[in-house]
Amino acid sequence: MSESNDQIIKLTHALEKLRSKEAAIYFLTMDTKGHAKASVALTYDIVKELRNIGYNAIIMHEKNDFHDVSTWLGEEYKDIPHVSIESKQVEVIISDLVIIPEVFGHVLEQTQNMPCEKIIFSQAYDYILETLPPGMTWRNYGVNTCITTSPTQKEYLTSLMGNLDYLELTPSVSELFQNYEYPQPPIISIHTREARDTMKIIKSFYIKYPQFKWLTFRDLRNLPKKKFAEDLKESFVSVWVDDISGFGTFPLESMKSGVPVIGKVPNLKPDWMTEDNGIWSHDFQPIVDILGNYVQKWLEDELPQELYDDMEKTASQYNEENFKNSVASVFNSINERKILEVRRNLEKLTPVGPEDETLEGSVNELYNN
Amino acid sequence: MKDITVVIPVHEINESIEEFLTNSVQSITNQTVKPGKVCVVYADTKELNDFFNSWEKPTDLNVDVLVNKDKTDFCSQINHAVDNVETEWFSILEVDDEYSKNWFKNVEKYINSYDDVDIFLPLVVDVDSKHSFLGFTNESIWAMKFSEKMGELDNNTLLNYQNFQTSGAVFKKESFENIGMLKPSMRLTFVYEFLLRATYNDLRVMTIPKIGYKHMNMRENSLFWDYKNSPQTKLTTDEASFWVEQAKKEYFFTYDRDIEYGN
Repeated sequence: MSESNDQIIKLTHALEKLRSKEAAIYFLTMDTKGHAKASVALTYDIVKELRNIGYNAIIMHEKNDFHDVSTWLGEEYKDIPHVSIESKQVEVIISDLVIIPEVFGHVLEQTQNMPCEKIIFSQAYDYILETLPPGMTWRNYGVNTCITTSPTQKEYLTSLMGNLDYLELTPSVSELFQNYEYPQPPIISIHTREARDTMKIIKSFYIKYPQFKWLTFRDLRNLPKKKFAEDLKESFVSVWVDDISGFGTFPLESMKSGVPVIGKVPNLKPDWMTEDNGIWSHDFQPIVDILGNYVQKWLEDELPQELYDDMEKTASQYNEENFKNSVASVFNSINERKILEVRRNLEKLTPVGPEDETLEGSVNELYNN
Repeated sequence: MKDITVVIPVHEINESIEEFLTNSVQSITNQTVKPGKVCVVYADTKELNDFFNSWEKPTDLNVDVLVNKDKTDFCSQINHAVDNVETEWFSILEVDDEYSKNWFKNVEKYINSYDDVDIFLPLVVDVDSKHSFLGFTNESIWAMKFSEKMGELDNNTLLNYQNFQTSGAVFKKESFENIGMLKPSMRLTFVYEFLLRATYNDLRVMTIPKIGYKHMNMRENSLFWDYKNSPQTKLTTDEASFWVEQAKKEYFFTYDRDIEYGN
């Protein structure tokens, strides 16, 4: 069999796999070591949804001793198939896709010769350059497409690396986040990227507002998702500091739980952030005084109803239906594009024209020979 | 909130009573959710009779005025009023204090959410006679690991901490009566003894974590000011401790035993 015939067989198989959605979509995923991580949770949600709509989505991880995420993300993620690169049992073919988070930029060189397409999944724009050598872009490693989670991130990425196709995938806020069934107790939830920011806020709050020493702070970092959602809704305000946040999942979860957010505006302002759906500060220092004023207003029932209305309006945009539509739209478009590309390559290799039936006939002939 | 009566006990007269009463009643009028009834009850003294005979009842509230011909102390005025309360709930408003404007709105919300709570305490703002902020009372119930259940008062916690305030609180009338009402003979620890007795009898006592009540602390010639400053009734630290210990003994008894103490 000639090299050309071999190529035709491979492409025809690829076409079948793409059409039947059997082609594997590997999501390279970091090991959270059992700790909750919003970006990994989103990856699992995408994989789960892709499997629901018939795609063969699989979690791919580097080492064999990958920690099971179901301990913090929930039992419903336990059945998602996983493969380990270390096991050397993964064999990717031309129809497969490998989705690489931006934090895994260092593996781009190793995966350069993989026969399948690689797509970058960028949720945390701040880590992009950490894993790329100076002067290099994803394009240098054969990546032509990037999926990201917001128009703002897309705009930033386009300004940084304009020679890629960018697709937007809108995350959702889980249905686990609901309003508390009782009036909210005087508990403050706090979520900061840096642990020391949490301590700075708590300690300076108690020093500056000793009359509020009876209020309890709850640090929500690293909690299992269900416990996180339960604790969050059981508070009357949340505090959020994350300068390098790409999307801002926590404040949206808080809004969906009916808990107003006092937050520092991240370096990249989230698209959903308005003047009315939270209490935002451009600086860190005023956060404590904003919190002190907020507490006083809450105790006196002086908070405007509009704040709660705007929170609900904002959070409702990130519902599961929109997320499902977004996942389907992004991956259907990728799949269709890949089908088209394979067909074009086949057309170049076969003299029989674009009709698939003819194509399949000629491939069968090749097999028989 | 129709099913609640505000009880305003008046057991003594002073030069500011008219101003105080106007302010306290105004704080009821200003409620975003108004109580169904107000019951002003006063001790049967000549001065108070003279004052209330000329007092004009507010027209925008359903106000009853009762005379207690029995005893003249603060607790007895409340007990007498409660005997006449026809609503499921009642609240105590001291004549020199004020509710915050959303108090009954919050009470309604909490009653609807916690249908087995018997007593809702407000977050009390203590002020001096110039209305300057001194601190909160009842707030500690919401501090982490303070009581057995966050937000609720229990007997064990009360055995270690005494400083709680029932003025402004909302009581389920039936529960209040069942455990024996207030005990006048407990003098300065009548609130403490009552709460010990309530929790001992498994009543659920919860603080609504919203500012509900402004309490004028240590107003000159007030009941507690007298215990601290009056030459006739001033108590030493040891005497105050005696009353705390006495409350811890008496709360096992449902009704006031009218104990007579020597000087």
